Amino acid sequence: MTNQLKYKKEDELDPQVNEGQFHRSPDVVMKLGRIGSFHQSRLSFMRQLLRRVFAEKWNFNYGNWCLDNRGVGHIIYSVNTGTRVYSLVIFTHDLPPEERSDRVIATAWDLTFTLFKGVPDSEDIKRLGKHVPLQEAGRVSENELVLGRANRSVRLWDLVVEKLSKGIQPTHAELVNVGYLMRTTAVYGSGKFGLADRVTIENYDEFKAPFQAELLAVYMLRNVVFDLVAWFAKSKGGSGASELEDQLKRKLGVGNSTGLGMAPFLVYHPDLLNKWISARERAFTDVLSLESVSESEFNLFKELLSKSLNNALEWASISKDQIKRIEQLKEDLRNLLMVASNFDYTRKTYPWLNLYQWVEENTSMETQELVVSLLLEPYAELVDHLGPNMSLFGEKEFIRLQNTTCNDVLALIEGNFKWALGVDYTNQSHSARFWYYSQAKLEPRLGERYEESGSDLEEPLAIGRDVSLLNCQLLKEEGTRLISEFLSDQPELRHIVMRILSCRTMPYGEIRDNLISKEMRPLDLLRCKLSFFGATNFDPRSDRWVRICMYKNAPLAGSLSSAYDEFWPY
Amino acid sequence: MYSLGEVETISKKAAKASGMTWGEAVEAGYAIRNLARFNLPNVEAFVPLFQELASGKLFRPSILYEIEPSDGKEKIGFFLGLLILDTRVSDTYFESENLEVKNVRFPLSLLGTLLSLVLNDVELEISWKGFKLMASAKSVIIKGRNFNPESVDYVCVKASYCRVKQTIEFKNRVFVNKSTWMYLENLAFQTYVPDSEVSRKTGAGSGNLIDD
Repeated sequence: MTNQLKYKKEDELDPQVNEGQFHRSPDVVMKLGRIGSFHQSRLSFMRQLLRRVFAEKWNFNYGNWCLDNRGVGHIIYSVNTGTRVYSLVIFTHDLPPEERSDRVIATAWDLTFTLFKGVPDSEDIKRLGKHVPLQEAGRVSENELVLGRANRSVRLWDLVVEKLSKGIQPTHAELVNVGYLMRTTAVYGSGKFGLADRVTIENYDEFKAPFQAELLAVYMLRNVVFDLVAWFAKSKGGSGASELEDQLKRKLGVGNSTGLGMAPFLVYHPDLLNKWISARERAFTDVLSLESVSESEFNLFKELLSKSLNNALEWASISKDQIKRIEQLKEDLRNLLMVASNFDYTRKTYPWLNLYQWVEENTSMETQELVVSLLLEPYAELVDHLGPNMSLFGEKEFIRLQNTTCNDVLALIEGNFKWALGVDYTNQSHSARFWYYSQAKLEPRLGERYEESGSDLEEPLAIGRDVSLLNCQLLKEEGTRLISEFLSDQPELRHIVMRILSCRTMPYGEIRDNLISKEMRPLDLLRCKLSFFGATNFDPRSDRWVRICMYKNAPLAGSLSSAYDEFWPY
Repeated sequence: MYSLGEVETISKKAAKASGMTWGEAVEAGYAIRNLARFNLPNVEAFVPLFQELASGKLFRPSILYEIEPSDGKEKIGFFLGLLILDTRVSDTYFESENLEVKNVRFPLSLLGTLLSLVLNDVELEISWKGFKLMASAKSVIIKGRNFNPESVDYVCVKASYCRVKQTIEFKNRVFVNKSTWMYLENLAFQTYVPDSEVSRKTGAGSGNLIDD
């Protein structure tokens, strides 16, 4: 395995990353295979949210629980942050099994929900009751922040209701095999279907980190699901029924199915991707640059390493490739545990760097990226302050072309997009796919360019190919020609010129791989995004969609703040 | 009422379907979003342009740099706006610019395109017969009601560097009448791809599983 770290400063890097002594180059990090191996870390958005929830002692309580004897009705579950109140408004439905589907084209779900600013009154509930159950077909208002839905896990829900109705607790093995009682099939925010735009809440302290409103809704939903399953058990078993014990509840998260619709997000938002990965790499760089490590820091690392092995042992997947990766991860972690137990961190300078060099040379990418996450864990002060800066605030960067010449753009391509130039896009396997927006699903999809029609309506996501095309055209021009003049002749290249200019200050903004290649796995894009959310238990169902778990092992909403365990994902 | 995100997204797709390139369509969507934030007619400023482009009545100017602002030939507001942004406003050396442009169609689309300046440390004054807007990050003053004429004999644009803290409250909900929204949706729909046999088999949904 080659030594991929670059142990030197590079002036062209973003100052966010540049301040440390050691860093990983974007050419190493921004590959699909690597970002598709990322794991949750203390910078993950769920971790950021729960740190705040427990530090600020947010108060959760039910405002309303109106279900008929079939369990159909609505539930209001509110949280007071100390400065604002939000309510999760949930509508439960009696869904026939044959209509239960995770696909985006489904029109009915076990429950639907919205996150409402404040506490809804009866008029609000009436309005929401007309629209929220319709999901994409309904209209919500600027007072709602999130819209979503969830279905029961058929495997687990009935089993747990049955057992609890008889006063019996399900076994640990029965629970962890699935990991959740319900899974969300879509959680929308940021202005979709009439929801409030992100810009309207971006200055709220509690929502400064990315996707906090969406993840708050899911966190609240987790608690409601536990109470719902208890309600169904009691309806069935009466006074003999029991509730799920707290330590078993903690083992369960909220499941999620994520498909191609989410995949292009990272490509459409290079500015955001740069923020996320820069923060993670900056934190990693700072940790590698530590000249010494304390005993407690090293012991914490070893403890979490050991717990990670346990998690890997519980990590179930039906994907042959993922099973292989998990098996390798287990073997790597066992070896690393042995190496760590013999590692004299007191006698080495840059001890983490030394240890990570061993990891890089001896383990799989899946393991390497887990270790990157683990190395951040002992360093709250070094890492956590980077979290709130992972969002975009204010106006878009103002990119204008005046005085920019063709040579200037060629130099930027040479500096930041060289990865795009070595690919022969006339080779059908290198341009096999095209991204499009589906008429039937109203979501992004991936087509086979040489097998189906529609590539004339391709979305502008073939970044490498378009950079390569632009490069060819620019080489034919006088280098001193203004790029604005060039674009007047070739306006179809405007999007890629603007992208190259905007990426000047975003070293980690671009995935440095061919996104239309036959070998490209959309799954890698999904895994990257979901790992930043804080998801675990990735279980790919194809190269295009994945099952995950959110908040597995997380403290329950309403638990005592003093009992908060920062390392809950382990 | 629609969110800014909805309006920007549908406008971008409609712009693409009308015949703009992706790069231009992104700018058109952003211009419409900005018009809405400043509480000005927004999609209405662009729908006639989309209609003419889509029907082939209007060809997008292919060589923008040959359009001199003062040559008297008919200008299309949006494309003129891009020309001004691309060639008259520098990232680093911009101080001020005064332009008088004759014979402008869809002048509100020009204003929408230039509003990005106001959000980036520029004080903008733009006027045509029956309408004047003076805007900075601190304040917006509008005089006259002739917001959205189809064409005007001349437009005056004055822009100067002015770094002030943003204090104006932007609108964040947009009213679009039903028929206009349907027009945008129908246009945007033309950028979507219908299902094929292959996509039905390999499509990406999150599955319809019986094992869970």
